[in-house]
Amino acid sequence: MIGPIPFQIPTEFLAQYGAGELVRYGAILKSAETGRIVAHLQQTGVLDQVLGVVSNFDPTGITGLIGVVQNAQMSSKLSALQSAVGGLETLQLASLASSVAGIGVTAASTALILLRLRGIEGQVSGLSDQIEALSGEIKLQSIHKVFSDIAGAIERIELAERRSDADQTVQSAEDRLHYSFRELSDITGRVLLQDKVDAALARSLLAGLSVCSAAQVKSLYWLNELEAAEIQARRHYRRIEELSYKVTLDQMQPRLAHLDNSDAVALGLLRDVSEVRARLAAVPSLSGHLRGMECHGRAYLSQLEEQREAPLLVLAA
Amino acid sequence: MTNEIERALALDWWAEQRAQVEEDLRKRLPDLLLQAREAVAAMPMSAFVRRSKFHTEVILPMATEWVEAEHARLSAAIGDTLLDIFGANAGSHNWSTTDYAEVGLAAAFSAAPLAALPFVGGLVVTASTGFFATSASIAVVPALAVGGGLVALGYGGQVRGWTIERLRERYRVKVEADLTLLVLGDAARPQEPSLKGTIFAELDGILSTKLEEPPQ
Repeated sequence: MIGPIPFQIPTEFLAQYGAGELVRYGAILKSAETGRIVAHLQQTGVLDQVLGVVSNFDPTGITGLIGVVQNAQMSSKLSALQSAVGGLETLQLASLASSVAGIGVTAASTALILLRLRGIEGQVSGLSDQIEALSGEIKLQSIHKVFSDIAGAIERIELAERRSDADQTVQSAEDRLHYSFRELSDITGRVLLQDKVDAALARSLLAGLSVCSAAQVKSLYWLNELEAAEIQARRHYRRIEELSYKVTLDQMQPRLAHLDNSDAVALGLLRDVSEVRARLAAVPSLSGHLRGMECHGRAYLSQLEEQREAPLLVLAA
Repeated sequence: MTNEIERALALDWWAEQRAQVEEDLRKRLPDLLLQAREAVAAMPMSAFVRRSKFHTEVILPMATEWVEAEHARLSAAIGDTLLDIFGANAGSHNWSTTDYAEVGLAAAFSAAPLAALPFVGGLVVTASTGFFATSASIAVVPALAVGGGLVALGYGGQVRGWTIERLRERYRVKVEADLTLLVLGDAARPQEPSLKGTIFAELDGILSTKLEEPPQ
């Protein structure tokens, strides 16, 4: 057990995972036999550091770690990770951490969340021609405004601890993130329902939703509003669930028919939606669990960010 | 309402099954189209005079048999995954493997919905857009063309043969288009019944049942 929050180094769990007794679903380890949640996985400051320092790390997770692993600096860091938690699983976890979903609920440092968001926003900017070509009321300006609002809120959270009015600052940022998530999910829904869907834009928006949700939940944890975090995370999940009904393969194929590799793109989009869904689905459970243990939200965050040995910690359910 | 993780898992399963059904039917439809093409190619000249009879006696039974077999095959495949996915979680909620088998599968995969398809339901379907209705309605045209007009105009056997091949080709195209519609449906008109739509509705039913479970 490490610190006031009863985190554990996941050696025992990984052994069970390797033996097939546990299965991973997003950031959750479940019993293969009963389906019961056994533990919550959380990336720590170590993994954040690895992902954050790599120059060609794709913060959106859209390209995963392909190419990143070829980077010498990343390779050495990954080797260290491998020795820490062992084998191929590390790579899989690193891939997950760099995906649209990320590992865990709020473990990514605010700086890394911001880095991810800026990467996503950069990709959206690169799609300005496609966005202008979209029908209806979806405009580049409105997408940029939402991303700008989210970035502003995250910057406020990052600086909060250095301010005398820290709580009010985070509260105001959380409020802004709340509205931004709604706006972004509306835009994402409309983009996904276009007759001709721009897949790159759709994937960027999904990544943005994931980041926005993570930032809002993190701010609520910081404020120790775990019940509100649970309720809000449930709403986020429901919004993604609503979107999911519109993003089945049979519905997306005609909307992506203008692309040469439409089937592969549709499957990629489905995978992203599934990953985001899995990540968001875990948050209410974890928040409820922390409340049940009477853990302080800010202590939970601090312990993860300050961890310098293990890239991954486990909180038994 | 189950918890979010259960819901997300159920949605993963649902999306995966829909994708699998879509892919399977697209892969296998050419088999049915080939059968139909061969039947039309072997269609005797006399059948052009009473094409609706040919349609009823040859094409419809072929389509019915194929659709029923595909429905049974896909239902069984889905049933297997349902037990794999939800049965494994029986300890975390109040649905046991037996419950799924008895309630979920039995309710979802009865043969009843197939009867709603225009051709599988027999020859009682009267919908003007149905497979049987549209095909029967055009049957009169070739009979007139072959039996009356062209021959009466004095064109010879070569021309008549050429005309029949054109009519055969037109009929083949129509049969293939209708079969494709009946198997895969029309994205622009999702309310039109199809095999894919029937199975999707069954999958939707299972998902709804799962999502409406009381929380644990």
